[in-house]
Amino acid sequence: MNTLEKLEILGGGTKWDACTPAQTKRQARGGDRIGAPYSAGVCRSFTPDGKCVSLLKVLQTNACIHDCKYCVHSTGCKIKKKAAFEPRELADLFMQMYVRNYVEGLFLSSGVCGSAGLAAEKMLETVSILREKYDYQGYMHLKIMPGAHPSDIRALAEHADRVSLNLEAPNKGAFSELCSTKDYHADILRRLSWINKIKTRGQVSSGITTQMVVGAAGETDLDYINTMETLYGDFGLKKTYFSAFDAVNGTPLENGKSIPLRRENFLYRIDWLLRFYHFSFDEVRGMLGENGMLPLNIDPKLSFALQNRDLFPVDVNLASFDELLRVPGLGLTGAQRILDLREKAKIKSADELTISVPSAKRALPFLFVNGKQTNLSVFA
Amino acid sequence: MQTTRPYQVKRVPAILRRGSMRMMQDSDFAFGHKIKAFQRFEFFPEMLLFSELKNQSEVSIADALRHFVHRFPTFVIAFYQWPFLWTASSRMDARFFLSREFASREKALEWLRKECREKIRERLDFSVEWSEKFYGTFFDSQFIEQRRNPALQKRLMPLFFLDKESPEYRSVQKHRRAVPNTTLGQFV
Repeated sequence: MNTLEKLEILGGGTKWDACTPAQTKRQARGGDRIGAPYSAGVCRSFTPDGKCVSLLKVLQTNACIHDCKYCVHSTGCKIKKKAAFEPRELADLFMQMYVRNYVEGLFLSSGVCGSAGLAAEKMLETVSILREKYDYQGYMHLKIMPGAHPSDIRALAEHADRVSLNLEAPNKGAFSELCSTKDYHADILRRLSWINKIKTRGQVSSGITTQMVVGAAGETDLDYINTMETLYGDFGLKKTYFSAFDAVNGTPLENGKSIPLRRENFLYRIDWLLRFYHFSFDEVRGMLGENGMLPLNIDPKLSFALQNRDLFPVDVNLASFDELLRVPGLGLTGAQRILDLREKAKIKSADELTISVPSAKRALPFLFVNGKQTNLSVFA
Repeated sequence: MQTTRPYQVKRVPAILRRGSMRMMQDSDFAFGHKIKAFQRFEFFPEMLLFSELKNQSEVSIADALRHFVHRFPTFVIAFYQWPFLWTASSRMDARFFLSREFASREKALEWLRKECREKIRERLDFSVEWSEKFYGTFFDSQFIEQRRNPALQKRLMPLFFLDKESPEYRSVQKHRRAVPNTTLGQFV
């Protein structure tokens, strides 16, 4: 099998893995290096499903001993063409793309071939060639295998800007339904806590991430929100990725029902409300319906505003930044612009506000401008 | 109350902070970004990265040279824009920053490769022979058929990528009439 065929199989093997390059605090060292870790790299291009491409996302091998029911690399998958990159081959392929300015970094994952240690060894050999032979100092995101040995995790984290370990399911019950060869607590959560300890020592400067499959085992949105609370609180995770379950041909769950993309999108919205809009987990749980699911016909932030009408409308001239962030239609930029605007002079009319902050048009029903409220139809 | 926005990248070009070229026009910044983010190189084992440009200002080329010399300090960076060849390097053994006229791209490249061979002893050879198909194959492999949404791709794709020779252009053309498999709204 030639390199092109391997790239097609092993590049395609990562298409369900979500990742984006992140800023890193690592500094470029020495004059004989190739690449630099700073953010200004190649502009992102987009595939026909809207996914951004700026890293070389690839598997070391797609051979895997685990039986995850949703996964195209699992032992239970009927359609499978096995392939593996030799470490030198993959390192050289990546460098060829990097120096030509096609990609701005590497995302390297792997199937668990034989054992987690063996998979980590191959990955480590590849990244060692890059970091030591070529003195490559650009961005690198490495996937940690479930059940990996602490020494392998330490070695991989030493080279990586960001590491991730996929949780796949929000709790042990759902995880056991999806996979019988991995242990949720021992192989995943314990490894995440080890990685967090490594991070607190100053390595992995771009943080730790994880990914969960949404709805493969009938989990509710409440399960995901509870898990996010644990992940951000106890494990110091930077970001959680979600992937709505797709019933892929050949996998044991090929006859399952695919999950609407809107559900994945709404979980991302919740994630943003938690990380950037200073919502608490209790506030977010309040947006869920009785069945523990987010209503898919209304934006979560609007749903929060309609449930808490006593908090609105807020006065644009007096509200704090956090209060403005809770207004549907206003984002971080819009709220900041309002603060900047009223520093110069009091905002006297809705027109004055919407000229400077166009996004405030949608927020008007939730705002008092100079003692007046406009467009009250939303409260009807 | 001021707040930080951790998701945003501060886009103040380094060249502006130096204060020497404050009069540079906005268009030059855009062209500078175009070279840095979209221009692809040809790689030569003589530690040479070469690229051909069209309609760029001198200021944006200088900005891009500075950017790539910092990113690839072991390489000689060269841009050819008829009739000028612009080169820069931070290597001690091949330290040049020049613009010189050549009648064609081939002549410029021939002269430059000869210069690099004479000045630089080091060579960088990869075990994998480069093929133009590599990037296109990788790009196509990332697409999930079940989530096809050509309108989203068209909306997000930077126009600079849509050069007729690029895999991005071929991808947009191939899928432009396709019906989306999934959209956010269809389930409601």
